[in-house]
Amino acid sequence: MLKEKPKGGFKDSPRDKPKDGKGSGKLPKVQELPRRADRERRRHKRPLRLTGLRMRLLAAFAAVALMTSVAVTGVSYVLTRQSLMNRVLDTAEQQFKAAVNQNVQPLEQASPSTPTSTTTTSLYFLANQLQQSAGGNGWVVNRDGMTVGSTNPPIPYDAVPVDLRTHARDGIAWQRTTVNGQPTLIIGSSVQPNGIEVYDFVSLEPQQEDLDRLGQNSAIAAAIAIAISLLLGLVASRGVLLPLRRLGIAARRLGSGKLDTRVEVRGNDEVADVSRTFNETAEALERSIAELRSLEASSRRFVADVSHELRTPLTAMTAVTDMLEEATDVGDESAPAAQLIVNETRRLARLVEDLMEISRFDAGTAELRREEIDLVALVQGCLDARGWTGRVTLGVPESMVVAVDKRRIDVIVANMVGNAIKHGGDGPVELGIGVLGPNLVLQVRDHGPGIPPDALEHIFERFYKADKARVRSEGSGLGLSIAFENAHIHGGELTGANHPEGGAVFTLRLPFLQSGVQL
Amino acid sequence: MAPMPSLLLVEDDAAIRTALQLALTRQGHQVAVAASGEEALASYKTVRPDLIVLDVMLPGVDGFEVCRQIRRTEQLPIILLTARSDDIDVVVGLESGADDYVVKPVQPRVLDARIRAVLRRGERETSDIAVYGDLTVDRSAMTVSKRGTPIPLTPTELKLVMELSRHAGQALSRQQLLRLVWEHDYLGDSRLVDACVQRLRAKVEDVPAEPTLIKTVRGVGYRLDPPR
Repeated sequence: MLKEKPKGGFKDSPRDKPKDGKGSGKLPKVQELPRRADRERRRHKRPLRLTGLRMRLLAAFAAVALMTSVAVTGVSYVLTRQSLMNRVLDTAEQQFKAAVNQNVQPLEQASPSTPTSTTTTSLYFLANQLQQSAGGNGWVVNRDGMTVGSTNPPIPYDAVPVDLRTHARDGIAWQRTTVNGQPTLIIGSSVQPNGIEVYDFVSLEPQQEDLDRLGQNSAIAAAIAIAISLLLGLVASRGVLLPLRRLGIAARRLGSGKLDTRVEVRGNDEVADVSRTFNETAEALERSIAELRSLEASSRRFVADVSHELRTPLTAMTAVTDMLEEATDVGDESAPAAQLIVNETRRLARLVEDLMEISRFDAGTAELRREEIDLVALVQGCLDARGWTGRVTLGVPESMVVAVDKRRIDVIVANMVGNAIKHGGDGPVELGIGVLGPNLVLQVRDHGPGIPPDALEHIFERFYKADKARVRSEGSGLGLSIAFENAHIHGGELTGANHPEGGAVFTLRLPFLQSGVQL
Repeated sequence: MAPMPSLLLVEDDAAIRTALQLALTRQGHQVAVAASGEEALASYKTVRPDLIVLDVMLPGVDGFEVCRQIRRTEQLPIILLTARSDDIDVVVGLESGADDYVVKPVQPRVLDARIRAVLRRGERETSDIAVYGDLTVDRSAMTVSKRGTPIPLTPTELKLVMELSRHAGQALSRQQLLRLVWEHDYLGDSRLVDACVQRLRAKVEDVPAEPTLIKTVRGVGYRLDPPR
C-alpha cells in the first residue's frame, strides 16, 4: 500500500524522459560512478607474468645448467673420441706393419726382379695370409690394376678413397670413412719397389657404439642436471619471492589503513634489510599519522569546546533579546543599536548551534533516531513552521511513511528549500518526493541562475560561499554541510546539480526503510 | 484575575538565571530562583511553585537528582533545561520524571509556551466519569482512582490519561499525543510520550510490564482499553 508510485514529482520535459523505461519515470536518472573498490581490485589482480622474476630466475638456472652440461659433455666426448681413435689407430697400425712385414716383404724378396711374375693366385694367397696374421674386417691387395680381397665378396678397390691411394704411395697412410654403412678405418701402404698396394679395413663399429652410448648418457645427465637446476631455481626463487610477496601483502595492508602492519625479519640478507626498512617506515608512518590524528582531534575538540563555552553567554543573551527588541519600539537613537544586537545575537546563536552540530558529526557522536513518520506531513510541517508554504510548489504523494530521524530530515529539507528560496530569485521553488529503485528521492528545484560550474564540487564544504561578493549571508555557512552529513548518517546522499533548463536541483536520496522498525 | 503562575527557576549560571528571570517575569510569571540543586530542594517546599524550570547541569546535586527527589513526594510539573549535545541527557531526564524539556539556548517565547502548555494540563474539563476495570477516571473532578483509592498523578500524566480516555478504544499515535498533551509541533520528541506512558503504567497497572489498560499498538502508538 505504501510502495505505490508517487503521484507527485517534477513534470517531465520531453528530453528528461528515461529512454530505457526503467525507474519511476518521474525523476532524472542517477548516473552511476565507477566504484572505487572495483578499480582497486583490478589493480591488485596479478596475472602470470612471463617477464616476472620467477620466470627469469628459472630461465637463468636452466641456461646455466644447459651450458655447463653441454660444455662438460662436449669436451669429454671430444677427448674420449680422440683417445679411442688414437688407441685404435695405434693397434691397427702395429698389426698392419707386422702383417705387411711378415707377408709382403718375403714375397718381394722371393722375386724382386720379376715383378710381372706375380700372379692373381699369389695375390690371393697374400691377402689370405694378411687376413690370417692380422685379422680385421678385410684386406684389399692391388698390383698394377689387379685387385683381390680377402673376404667374400671382396671389398672393391673403389672403396679405397683416391686421397688415401695417393698418400699410401709415400708410406703408411690411414683414413676414417664409411664402408657398407659401417664406420671403418682404412690403413694402407704401397710396398716398394714392386708397387703392391695393401689396404687393411678395420671396423670402428664397437668404438662408435661406445661413443654413441657416451653421447646418450651425457644427454640424460644433462637433462637430469637441467631438471635439478630448475628445481633449485624454484627453491631459490621461492626464497626470494616468498619474502617479496609477504612484503607486497604487508604493503597493501598498510595502504588500506592497517598501520600496525609489520613483517617478520628473517636472516640477514638483502630481503631482511628491505623488511627492516619496511618496518621502520611503517612505524614512522603510524607515528606521524597518530600525531596528525591527535592534532586533528584536538582541533576538533577545541571547536566543540569553544562552541560549548559560547553557548552559556549566548543562552543568557538570547533570553533577553525579545525584551531588547520590544525596547526598540520606543524610537530613540539607541533603537537601531539594540536591533543590531538582537539580530547578531540570533545569528551568533545559529552559528554556534551549527558548529556544535558539525562537531558532533566530526566526533562521531551524532546519534540517529529513526522512527516511523509521514514524510509528506513532515515536509509540510517544515514549510509551515518557516512560513514557506506559499513559496513552494509541492509534487508529493498523499502520504509516505518512512523510518527516519525526523529532526535531521527537517534540517535537510529546511536547508534545501531555504537555499532554493535564497538563490532562486523570484521563480517558483518545486519540491518533489518519489521512489527511485531502492531509494526514496526528495528533490528541490529552483529557477534561479543555478550553481556556478566551478562551485559545484564545493557547495557542501564548510563556510563555502559560491558568491564571493556576498560577504554576509543569512545562514552560518554550515547549513548545506550539515544537511550533507545528515543525509550521510541516514545512509543516503545529498547532491547538487544544475537543471538542463536552468536553476539548481538538490537531490536527497535515502535508502527506503519503511517497515520492520521497532517502535 | 487569575493568579500569576509561580515558577521556580533553578540555574547555576548567574547570567542565564538573571536573563531567564527577566524574560519569564515579563511573560507574566512570578519567578523564584535557586542557584543550585541543594537550594532548589530546600526552597521548593516553602515557595510552593506551580512548576519548576530545572537546569540539568548543576554543580553538586544535578538536575536529574533534584527531579528524582521531588518526584518522590510531589506531582509538581518539571521542565528541564538541557544541552542537546548530550542526547543521553534527554533520556535520563525523562526517566527521572520530567514532564518536558527545552534545549539551550532557549527562546523565552518557546519556554513560555511550554510552561503554559504544562500548566494547562491541570485545568479541569467538564465531562463525566469513565470506568476501565479497577480504574476510575473522573474527568470533571480531574482525579484517577484505582479500587477507590486516588492515584497521585502529575498534570502531564493526568492529561495523558484524560486524552487516552477521551479516545478510549482508539489508538493514538505518538505524534497525536504530543500535540494533544504536550502541544508540541511536528518535531516533538516521541520519547516524551514513551517515558510518560511508562510512568503512568507504573502507577495504574497491576503489572506494569504486562499492561492490561494502556496497551501499546505496534507501529502506531497507545490505546486505553477496558480489560476483558
